[in-house]
Amino acid sequence: MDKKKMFLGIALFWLLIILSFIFVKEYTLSTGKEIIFKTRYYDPRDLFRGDYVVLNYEVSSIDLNKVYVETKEFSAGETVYVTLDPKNSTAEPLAVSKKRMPKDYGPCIKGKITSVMSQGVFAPVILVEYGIENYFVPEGEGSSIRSGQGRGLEARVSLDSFCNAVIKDLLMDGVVVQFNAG
Amino acid sequence: MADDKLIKKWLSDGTISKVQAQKMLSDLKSDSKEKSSNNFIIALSTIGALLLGIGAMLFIAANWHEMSNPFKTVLLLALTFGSYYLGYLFKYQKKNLPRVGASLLFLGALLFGVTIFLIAQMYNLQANNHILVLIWIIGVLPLAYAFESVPIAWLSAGLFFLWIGLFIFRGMEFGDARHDISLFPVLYIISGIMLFAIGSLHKSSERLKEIGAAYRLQGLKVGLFSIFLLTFNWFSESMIRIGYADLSSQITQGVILFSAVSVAVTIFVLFKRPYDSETFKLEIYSSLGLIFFSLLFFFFPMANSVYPVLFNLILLGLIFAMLFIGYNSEQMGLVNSGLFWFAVLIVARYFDFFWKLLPRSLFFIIGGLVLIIGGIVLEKKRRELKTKFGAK
Repeated sequence: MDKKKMFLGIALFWLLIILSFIFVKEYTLSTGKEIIFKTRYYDPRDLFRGDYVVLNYEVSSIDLNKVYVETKEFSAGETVYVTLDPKNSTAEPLAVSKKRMPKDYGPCIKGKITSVMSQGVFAPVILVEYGIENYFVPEGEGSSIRSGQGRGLEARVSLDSFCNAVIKDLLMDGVVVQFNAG
Repeated sequence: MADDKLIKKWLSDGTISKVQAQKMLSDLKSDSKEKSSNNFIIALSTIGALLLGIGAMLFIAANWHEMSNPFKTVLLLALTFGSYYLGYLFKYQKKNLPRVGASLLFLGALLFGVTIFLIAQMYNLQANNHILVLIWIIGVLPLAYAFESVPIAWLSAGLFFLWIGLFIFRGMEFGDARHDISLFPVLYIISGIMLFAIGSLHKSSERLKEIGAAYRLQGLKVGLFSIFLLTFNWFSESMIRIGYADLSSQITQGVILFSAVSVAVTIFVLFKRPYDSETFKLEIYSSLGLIFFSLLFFFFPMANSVYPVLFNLILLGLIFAMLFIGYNSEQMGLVNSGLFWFAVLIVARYFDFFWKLLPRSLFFIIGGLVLIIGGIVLEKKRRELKTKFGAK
């Protein structure tokens, strides 16, 4: 194959990768159901990529005694599907399964178990990461979130039919957090 | 290739005339000047490409929230594809600035990764996401092969090692992963061998030989550094101190998975025999032996000094193997690398054994003498070999 064809092929391949990446996320944002995720705590951090807030949600830790499970045998690194209560606009876990539950059970979110905390004879508590634990904020604005520590911080998250999630906004006491630079 | 000494020898032997000798010497001089000028251009344009890349990144980062998402996307795409197109234009289409073109292609590969990470940031994806690095690798690998670019092969190899670390510790907080750190060298010895074997497979193709050499060299460097780390007692002791209960299942699965792949690729190389060399079997059996010892260290830790001693011997053996292979195949790079690791090993062991035994003043005096005399001896030997290789 000549260099020109290879050049064009790679350019198309790159474009395909980048556009598919954007398409998947935009699909979740535009078709997904909006659910409010309450945070348990949050931690503003500053890295090379700019300021961001590390969010830990109430649903990041799930007591398997309190939800429907087909099995209680879970291990760290496993992918799980958490079905949420469809009657509630805030994230309330109803079931945890290794496969996706039928759509009519309610919205679901896909996550990875980061830790399984055993509780003797009782079912364990699992810690789950959903890929929505970071929220990027304008440079220097992480501290404005820090000053709100102790108040209720929530994330408005879009959940698509494949259980993928993307954060739309952050809410402080129910009001969308506005950043000065934005 | 002929050098000054050889030409003078030919002249004194009467093999060539004085006029021929003068012509050869003058050609040699201009060739050396040309090479040095080319290297200067490569260095300048690579630095320029990197500065441009960093500048573009900083500009976008500084104005991140001033710009809308579609504008950011278009800007990132324009920068990435602009650099990629100009690189192609200079190197292959117009062919007027091939070295600058190569640097711009490299910049394009860097910007492709930057674009992926910054778009991920728009959607609040985690920074340590291994999938982003994997996408970057998948994107730049075709570029390395299509344009036979060694720098992009180096970039891919570096990303491969980064990806392995992120893949193993996916979804883990640093606190949870801290116990696994003592096993990092094992993981990287195994993945270094994997990359080395993948590089060996390229040696059968004349076109991809240099890319293969880059993989082999990077695999070797990472492997040697990891073995060097295991020569210290700390890693053996922490394996015993931690115990299996505190290790994450991900590291165990990762070590098993990557070992299986490394063994499979190495055995495939053995049967395919992509190149003929006197040391071919030595390379294969050393790789397999090293995987075996790494797994032994992982599954059967011991509190005594058995493993550090073993890894010292392994490192020493590898250094001699490198010197032997480098000497036989006249690869000065391999000889230099062998001598470098020999010096590092001697210094590390000197600190290990004598730091507590000797009075500080004596420790530094003897250490200084060992370094100076060792440096002189090694440099002399290195020059001798270089002259010998040059003369051949």
